[in-house]
Amino acid sequence: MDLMPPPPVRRIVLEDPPTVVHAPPTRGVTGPATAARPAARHRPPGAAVRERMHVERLSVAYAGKPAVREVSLTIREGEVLALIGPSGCGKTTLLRTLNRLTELTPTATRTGSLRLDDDNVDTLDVTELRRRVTMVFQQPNPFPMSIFDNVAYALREQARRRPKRPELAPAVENALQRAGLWEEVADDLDRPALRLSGGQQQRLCIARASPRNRRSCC
Amino acid sequence: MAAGARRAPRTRAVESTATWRRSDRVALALCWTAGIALCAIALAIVLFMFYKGIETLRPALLADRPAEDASQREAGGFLDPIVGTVLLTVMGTAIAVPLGVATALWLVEYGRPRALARAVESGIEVIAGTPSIVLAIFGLAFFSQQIFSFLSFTAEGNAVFGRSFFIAAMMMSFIALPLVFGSTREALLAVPGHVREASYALGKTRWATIRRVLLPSIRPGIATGTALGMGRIAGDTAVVVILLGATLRLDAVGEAPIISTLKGTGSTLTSYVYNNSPAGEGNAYDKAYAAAFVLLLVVIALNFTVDLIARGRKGTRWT
Repeated sequence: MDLMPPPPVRRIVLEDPPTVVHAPPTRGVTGPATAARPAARHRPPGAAVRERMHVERLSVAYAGKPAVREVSLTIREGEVLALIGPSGCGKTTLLRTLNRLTELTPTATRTGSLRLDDDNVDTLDVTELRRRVTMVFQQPNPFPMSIFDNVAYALREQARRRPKRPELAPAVENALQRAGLWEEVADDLDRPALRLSGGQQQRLCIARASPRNRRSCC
Repeated sequence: MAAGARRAPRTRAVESTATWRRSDRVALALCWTAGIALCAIALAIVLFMFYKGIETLRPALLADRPAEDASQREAGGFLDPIVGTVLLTVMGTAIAVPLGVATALWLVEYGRPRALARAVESGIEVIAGTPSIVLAIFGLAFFSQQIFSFLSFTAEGNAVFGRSFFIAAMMMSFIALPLVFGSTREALLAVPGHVREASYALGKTRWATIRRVLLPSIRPGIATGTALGMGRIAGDTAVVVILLGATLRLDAVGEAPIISTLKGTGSTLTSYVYNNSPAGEGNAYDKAYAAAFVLLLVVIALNFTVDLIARGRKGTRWT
């Protein structure tokens, strides 16, 4: 029997030194913006770029099998940072480690240090850490509730008093506007979020992850 | 379109079985026969019970209490057994659903230590596999002890009767529990892991995630398990005969308004059918058929509800 030869594979060289492209200083995509402080989105020209997160010699392994090895990088305020690499090279694992989501995988082990605003992330309360560093996933995953509630869910703190809808409405609108979804859903915020199209769902997830003083990574 | 107009030749979209190999055709014929035979049997049962039911069921039967003496031939309907069926089903479900859902949540969402999770799983399998009459006789031995005297009637000389709605409902809940547990677990496993992680990534606790994200997503699963479990409780006879006393009338114990009934004995449609069938003492076969017809309607309605729930929310799932 004749066997087909394997298809040609184009290999992409990965050993090149990392390329860093700095974003123009006044543009920030996930910068701090709220209904109350819309002006804070644009950094005044000449202001120092704040360094928010420091990753040092971070290694992650799943059941002893390394997924991320000795990664060090600094994440600055308001910057758009892209991690590029072939499938399975640990991009998502690195992201998940930033807010300790890897701890949900029982076999994952981590070494190296992670600091957020000079706090070691391991000393922070994990829910507090994830309120400050959140994540948008590859697959859209709105929660089984209305569009409004999806965004409000993230806003509601674990307080005894639940904020009422009118209090949350401006922040919800702001988040939806910044995700570019507001025009499409403004007429009916009570629609179930799972009825939206795939792209709308993903924008909703971005809106959900970015209200108020959050930093998010996608 | 004008008559006789030429139509484009159509190719059939479905292939003809005539082109199949013989083994394929034989297998198809066997499966087809089995399916048709089952349909025929189900239809025969329903039609027979329908015929008997129409023939024997009178509105008065639904509204009258059973006759006081053993023979049901002369007078009496089955109001008390209907009330008993409803009471027992509601009580059993009320115990089984929180227990089953909580167990499934723990197993899927926490499930540590592994050994305990496995033990819980096999424990539920054992309960699911235990015949209801074994559960019943165990329950009788267990609840006849002195410390459980508050649950049932106490005879002279302090012998605890061990038969009441409370006790029967508790053992009945074990019949519904595996069904509730199973469908809740399946529903939880069908929720993709990244949905949970999305909630954790927003800084939500495990409990907030369960309450606001997971429970709403698995509601159809819980409802399916609940309806299936209700059907099983409504249809069980062994527990009723052994643990409910199978007294045709609701026999209350004490004076307290509702508690007295629940502490007392009674019967359900299943035990009523048994009692009035040729095998029992009631000697009123017509009433047995009428009650069996009502019971069948209840269970078919429950199964139909399951179908509706399971089919209902399409297109609202994650990809």
